[in-house]
Amino acid sequence: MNKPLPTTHPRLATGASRHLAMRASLATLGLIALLCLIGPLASGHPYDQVYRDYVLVRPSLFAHPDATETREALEGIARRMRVRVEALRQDGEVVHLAFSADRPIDTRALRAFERSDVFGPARIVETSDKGRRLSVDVPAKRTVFLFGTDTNGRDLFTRTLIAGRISLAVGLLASFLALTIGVAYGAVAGYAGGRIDALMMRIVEIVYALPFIFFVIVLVMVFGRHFVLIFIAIGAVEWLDMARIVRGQALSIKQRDFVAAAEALGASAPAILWRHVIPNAAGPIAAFLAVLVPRVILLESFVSFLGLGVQEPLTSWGVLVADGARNIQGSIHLLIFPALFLGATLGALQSLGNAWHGSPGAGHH
Amino acid sequence: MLRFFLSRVATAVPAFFIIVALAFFLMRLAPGGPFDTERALDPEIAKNLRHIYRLDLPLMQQFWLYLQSLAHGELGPSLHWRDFTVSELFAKALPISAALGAKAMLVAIIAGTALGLVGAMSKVRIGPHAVDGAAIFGIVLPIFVVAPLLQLGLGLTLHVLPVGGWNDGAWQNQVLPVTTLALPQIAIVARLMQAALIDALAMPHIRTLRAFGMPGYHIYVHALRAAFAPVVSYLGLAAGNVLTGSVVVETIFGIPGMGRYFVDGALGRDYTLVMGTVIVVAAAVLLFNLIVDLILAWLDPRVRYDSRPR
Amino acid sequence: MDAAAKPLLRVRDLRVSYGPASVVKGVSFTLRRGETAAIAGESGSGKTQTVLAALGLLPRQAVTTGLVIFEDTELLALSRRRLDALLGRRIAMVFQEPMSSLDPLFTVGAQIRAILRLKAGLSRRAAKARAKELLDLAGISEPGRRVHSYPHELSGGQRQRVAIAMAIACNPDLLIADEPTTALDVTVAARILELLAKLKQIFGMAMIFISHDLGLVRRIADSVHVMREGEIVEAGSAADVAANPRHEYTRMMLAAMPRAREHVRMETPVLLRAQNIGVRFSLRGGLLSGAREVKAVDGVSLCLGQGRTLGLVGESGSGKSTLARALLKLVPASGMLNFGGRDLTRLDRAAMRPLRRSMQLVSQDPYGSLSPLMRIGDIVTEGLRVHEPAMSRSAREARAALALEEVLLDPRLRFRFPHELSGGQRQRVAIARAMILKPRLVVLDEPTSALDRAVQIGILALLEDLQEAHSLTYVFISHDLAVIRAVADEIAVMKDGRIIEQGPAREIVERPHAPYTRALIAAALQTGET
Repeated sequence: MNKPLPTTHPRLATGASRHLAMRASLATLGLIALLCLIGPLASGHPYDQVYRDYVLVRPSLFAHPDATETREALEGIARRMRVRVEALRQDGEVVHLAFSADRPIDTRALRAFERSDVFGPARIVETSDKGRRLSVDVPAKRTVFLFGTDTNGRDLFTRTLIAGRISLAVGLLASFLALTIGVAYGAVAGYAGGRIDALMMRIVEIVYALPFIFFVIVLVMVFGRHFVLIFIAIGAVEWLDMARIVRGQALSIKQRDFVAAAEALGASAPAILWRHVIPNAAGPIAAFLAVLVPRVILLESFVSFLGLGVQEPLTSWGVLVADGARNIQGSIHLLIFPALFLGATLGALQSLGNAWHGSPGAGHH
Repeated sequence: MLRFFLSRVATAVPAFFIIVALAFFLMRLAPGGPFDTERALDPEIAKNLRHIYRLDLPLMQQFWLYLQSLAHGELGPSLHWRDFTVSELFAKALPISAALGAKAMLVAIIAGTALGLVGAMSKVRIGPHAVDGAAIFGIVLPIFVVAPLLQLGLGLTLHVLPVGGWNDGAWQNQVLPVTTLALPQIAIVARLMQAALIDALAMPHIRTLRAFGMPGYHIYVHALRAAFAPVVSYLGLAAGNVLTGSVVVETIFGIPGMGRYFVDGALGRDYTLVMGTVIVVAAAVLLFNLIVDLILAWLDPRVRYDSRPR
Repeated sequence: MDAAAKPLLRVRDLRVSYGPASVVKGVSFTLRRGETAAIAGESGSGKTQTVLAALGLLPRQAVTTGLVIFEDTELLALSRRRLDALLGRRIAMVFQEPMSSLDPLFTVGAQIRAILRLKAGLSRRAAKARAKELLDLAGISEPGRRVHSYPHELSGGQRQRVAIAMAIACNPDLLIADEPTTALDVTVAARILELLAKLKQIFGMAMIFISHDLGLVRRIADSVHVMREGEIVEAGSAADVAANPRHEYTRMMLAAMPRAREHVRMETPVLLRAQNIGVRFSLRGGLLSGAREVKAVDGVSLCLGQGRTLGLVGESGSGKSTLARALLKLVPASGMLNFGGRDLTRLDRAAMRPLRRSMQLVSQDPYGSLSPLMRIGDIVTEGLRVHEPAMSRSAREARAALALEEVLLDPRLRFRFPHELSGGQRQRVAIARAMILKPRLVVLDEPTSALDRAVQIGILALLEDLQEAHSLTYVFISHDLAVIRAVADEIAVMKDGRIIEQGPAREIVERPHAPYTRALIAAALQTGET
């Protein structure tokens, strides 16, 4: 047959759904990125602040403390102050309290209220019975833990978003690193061809024989555990696929007549690589990038999950999921929220890559 | 075919040695040693320890000694579990990891191929998309999310299966780890199979068969054989992915396999243990890739003439 | 002759559309028993779609309407099963690409046997014997050994013979051949055509022959249907259509090459002298596996005077393109090379650079020779960026406009991208890119092969004008002897990396010595001429 069957038509049928998938993924990614960027500023909780009174709080839209939390916190403070709670009346934000003790109450002990996560500074309303009875007004803080708190009493919402920043940053930076190395290496190997190509690709094959998690772990072990080193380590292994793809492209682009024409014009090898080979490999490179970014994010969470990645109090989705997995009984929210964010990001990136590649069945280029 | 096999072996062996050398020197160049503990050791003791483990010899000599012992199948003493040699540790751990990985691969190949076939053969337009969509879930849900969820659902809530432990390989203990490990691979194999089959069915030689009015099963035999090539060549990568996954799965399910040793060894700077793991893993991956290449050559006669199939 | 009078196949108002795009628009024709009908048209004219639609072989998205009546059966109304029963047995097909139309993973014997067993109902043993007979019938030597071969172990011509053996396996009444010789070299193609004609005689088949080459079609078809944009624009007996084409499109397809160069040129000083040029490729450059060497060019010597044209003719794989690149020192070669009195043999890449502007290359594929992501203006001026790096952007633009004007293109095209241009326009851009450096020698590697005849003639005229104006020296490479004859002062015939015959153009064409040259001339000039 002198002309391939029209392949545009099957694509037309799925074009609409592809566009929809593409837009949905882009919207999801944009939303997650935006949340991670500005969310931590707006959440009102520093990512590393420990709320000792709110350990493993369940996710809720309502502000803490609730009645039981108020009472429990109060009882804790009273015990430490060695006083009895005589009366408790909550009036909106303010809690009216009356204490009694066998000995005069040391009002300095009231600072315990300030130090707690539940109340603000106490104001003495009245002292009686030679200081043995004390009535105070204490404002209750209003804190919201949208996603609950972790085992250390840190706000999971903030931590999830901060983790997102790290995961996304590692994903982008490591992908960029892999892109740079891979494109340069692959283009040179493919364009040079012959023995240089054989040698360069043999090196790739050898590094390939090590599953990348092992390579990353060895690298992390060698260079230590540091945020920057993680993405360098990941980028340093993930360029292999990129190099292979670009090399394959370069090999075929090299055969194209426009490269021969450029050589005949006397263009230098770097100029040919830069002007002809790399731009014409851009399509497959971009398509693979859409696969690479989620893979790198996943790899980072793998490494972090194993405790070899980002260190406390900084965190990434992998670390959070690992935490969640450890506390799965009783505190499932610790797993659900980070996993949801991670899954949504990976899914959106993946389907973006898919939409790029073309839908199944229309997969011939 | 024999020549092809030999040429593949000839490339795998040097690759193996380069990996050994790479891992060895990389690790020795790393700052920090195996005896860096919380509190500093007495310099005399540290010196003694270094002497016992021959860490005070010149690097090249250490490497040579290591290669010698490696030739005898010895991976040296573990620096962390000081009463054991690495080989002794692996004697118990390797069969467990191997069993886990092999079962996961088998499940992935069978289930993935079946799903891919169903998708490609489905008469409804939505068929391939359905398989594709389902596969995306399998691919993007990280193992370390799936594993705890399965533990919670089937173990803690329904009490059907044990949550962890190996229990000498009782099947109940294997179900969850194998499933977790296989899931992403099933998804990938299914997608690959489906795409390859759809592509194969559109190939000109399949159109030739159609033009001759050949029966459907005959056409599918031809298409399947063409479609298996990309799937089989993925399996080489899949071996690596399963190994990666098994590190996590073994950690989560508390299975005493190679992955655990590797992580512990890396954290504890146990050189010999990490080296041993790297060597065993590299050997396994190289061996598996060799098998994959042979299968590819058997599937596709053109490969046999080409010493480098990819 | 009663049976012969009754039509074997009637196609009435066949239409094919993909969504809103309609590719076949009401095609009707009739084929008698034993008749050979040709459907001729250029690529994209819908000729292949027509036959695929008639046999129900189009993908599911295609919508086919109309009537296709084979004997008394309406094919389009048949169930898949009943249609399959006809296909292969009564109607068989041979496709263009012999490489891809055979399954690369099965031996050719297995593929023929499958048809014999599943369609002709032969036993395993009978099929085995018959497969060898069929290969023998299709003109494959040593059929007993060849049944065990895989398609990639065969040459293009042999593969097409296998495909033909498969097609005649069940002794069909109708053979549809879709460009069966287009992918083959002319001499091979000629033998395949002979084979088809012979088999048609033996089996008494009717044949539908699809081709883009009206000259070729004329030789083997009884009737011709010329298709354009999904419609038959002209139909009639082959001789009639060829002798008095009524439609303009048919006339264009038949347009002939200009005859040989009339004026004889003066002997001029030698510009290019090559001695004993050899190029070797090692197949499989693995580090350890033993590399096999192939001599792509083997001891070629030639000598070319200033302002003259050397025509290099040979089939694909004869090494002529490699030789072209070796002459420009674009591939490493052994031997002696002298250009304009200067010895190039020992110059390396950097030392060659200043010389590059005097020796340029125009290559075959106008689709592949322009970087698809660059503007035409940037493509044309790429050489200036190399050789005159100091030139300002606006100066380059001005030069680009001039260069485009010189090849008779609208200078405003420089803002466009290659995919927006037609094949002929692209080839003119490629020529402009070479000319902008004012070269002395231009190597033209099949500059017209991918173009339609009418466009070819225009490009050849342009090349000749440029040669006159700038006293250019050409090495003109082509597989098409008709083109070579039109442009060359001297002709060199290449086969298997060697020049087997060389001399003044007229002498080679009129008095060829080597048998291969004679075969080439017989195959080529029989078709293209009126």
